[in-house]
Amino acid sequence: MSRKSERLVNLTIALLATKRWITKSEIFGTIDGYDGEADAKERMFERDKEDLRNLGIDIEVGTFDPLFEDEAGYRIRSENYRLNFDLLTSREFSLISMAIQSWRGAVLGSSALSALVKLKSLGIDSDLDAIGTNVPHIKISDSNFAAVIDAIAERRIISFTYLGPELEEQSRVIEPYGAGTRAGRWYVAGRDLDRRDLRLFRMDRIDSEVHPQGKADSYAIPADFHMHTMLDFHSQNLNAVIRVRRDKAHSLRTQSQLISEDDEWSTLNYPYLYEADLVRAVLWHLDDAYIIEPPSAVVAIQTALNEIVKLHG
Amino acid sequence: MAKKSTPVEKAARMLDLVPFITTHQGIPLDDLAAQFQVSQSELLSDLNALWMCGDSRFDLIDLEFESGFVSIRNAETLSLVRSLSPQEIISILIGLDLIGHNLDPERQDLLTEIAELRSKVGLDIGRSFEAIPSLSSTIVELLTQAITQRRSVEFAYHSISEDRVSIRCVDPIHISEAGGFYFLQAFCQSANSHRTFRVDRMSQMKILEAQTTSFAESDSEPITLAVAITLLRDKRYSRESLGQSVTGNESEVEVSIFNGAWLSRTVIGAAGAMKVTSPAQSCDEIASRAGQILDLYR
Repeated sequence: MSRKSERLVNLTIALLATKRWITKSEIFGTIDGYDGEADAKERMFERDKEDLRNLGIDIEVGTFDPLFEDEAGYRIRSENYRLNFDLLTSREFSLISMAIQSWRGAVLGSSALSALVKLKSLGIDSDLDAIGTNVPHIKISDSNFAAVIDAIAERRIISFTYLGPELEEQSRVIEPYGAGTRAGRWYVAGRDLDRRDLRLFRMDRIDSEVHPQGKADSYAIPADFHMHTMLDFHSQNLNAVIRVRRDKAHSLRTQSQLISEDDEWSTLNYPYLYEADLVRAVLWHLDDAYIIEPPSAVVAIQTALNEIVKLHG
Repeated sequence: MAKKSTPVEKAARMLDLVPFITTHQGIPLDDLAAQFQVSQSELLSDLNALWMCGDSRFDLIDLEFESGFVSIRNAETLSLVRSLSPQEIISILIGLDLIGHNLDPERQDLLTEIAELRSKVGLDIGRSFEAIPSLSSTIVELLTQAITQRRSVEFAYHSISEDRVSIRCVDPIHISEAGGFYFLQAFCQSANSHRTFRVDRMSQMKILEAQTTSFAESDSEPITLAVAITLLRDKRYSRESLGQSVTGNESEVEVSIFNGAWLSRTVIGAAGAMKVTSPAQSCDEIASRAGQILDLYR
């Protein structure tokens, strides 16, 4: 156990201290713990490199002579290793420490804690009072959250069971690209490997543990991917005309544009994406709202209402 | 303390201990353990391991901690503070997003600063994350404060089932969280009974001077009604719209309600995807409501 951690620390020191490339045989010769057959040492070294890379330590690979395919050399450049916050103002520094402290007790707490320790190691005091706003408190209880964040950070494929529209259990395998929240819900977006398409999943509909699969860095997040566009549910491009009773149906009003108003009713332009959602949203307001256009939605809502009467009559 | 660290976690901590001790020479052992949130024995094991590390061509790292105070020498190579891991960057980005969205309206000046900082820290990974909280944490903080100080509060509440905004004066009792939403249990002075409120539907929160009255005596259990429902289709949507209190498996479910209007809205809003099977009174109510809506289309 402890030998492995010491070996990783010593490997880091050796690669960091060197000004030139050092070869694998030099590493095996000077660092304790690379024992056994050549194959075993080789595997050990590969794993160590991956472990350090997962810690965010950038190991460069190069050769001594560009003209020859001779033995590869390794090193860690100190400018890549060290935390570079030289350009941050003390206010920015305080904002960062406030961001970290908002995680107290929550699922990413351990990452936040280690980030805070690093900030303190820089020897700069953060002055939260200078910002003059409260530290928010992040509350995420979803046990899969940390697994999803790790997978995105390491670009590792994940699999899970997802509840479909009829509560059927679907097996999903995705390359996660990003995560975010809307209206109190967390979402993960990624490329669904079976459906070969970009999909968005609600984390509370994931019905199993999230399992990481395979190696880190097994895909690249496309350059044009942005989580905020994935979560932009307001890009509804269809328009309905609805009427709502005056002083009623506030949640429909806030999303609409007012066209006209008489003593009893307001006529609104209401944007929507799916007709089923439009029908449900209007039905929720009972006889305080009804649809004028499009005609297909009027038919759909009447069919639904007749069905409800029949089911409950 | 937390579960035993893996060798990689231990190595990461050893790498981070060196710069931390370098800027905090002579720090007491228990302080250092608290900063890294490990037990003292785990910290001692880290320090002992570190002592054996170093570049063997030169000197080994020189640590002194037997006195109960930790200092370090000869660790120049490792005294650099390690750059942030992707997870650490993500935790900062999400935290910054939340601060940005929780700001008081008069502190919008911080928004530009946060946006710039987000791009400085986040680099490329920033586009993978977007956190927008569902509610203002200021409201939660004011409520928490009111509960501890036993003060009444006043707020504007958007009641979805009654579909109106009204001013409420309540004695807050408890804040709970379910399904990503915060709920406040409180004694509502206007209704003279216990009520549950969704925190994200509150605004204009004010803590009042008045101390909360002793509401234990007037403790009347809210009257609830058990309703049996068959989910016919769109089962995921239907189940989610029935909320947290729904029990039962697959298609036959039961839900406890204390608000008939809410039931009608939820069942009619499901557009025929669910059917109430009992009590009969709820069925009649829903059928007659649906009939009234149909009249609007005649």
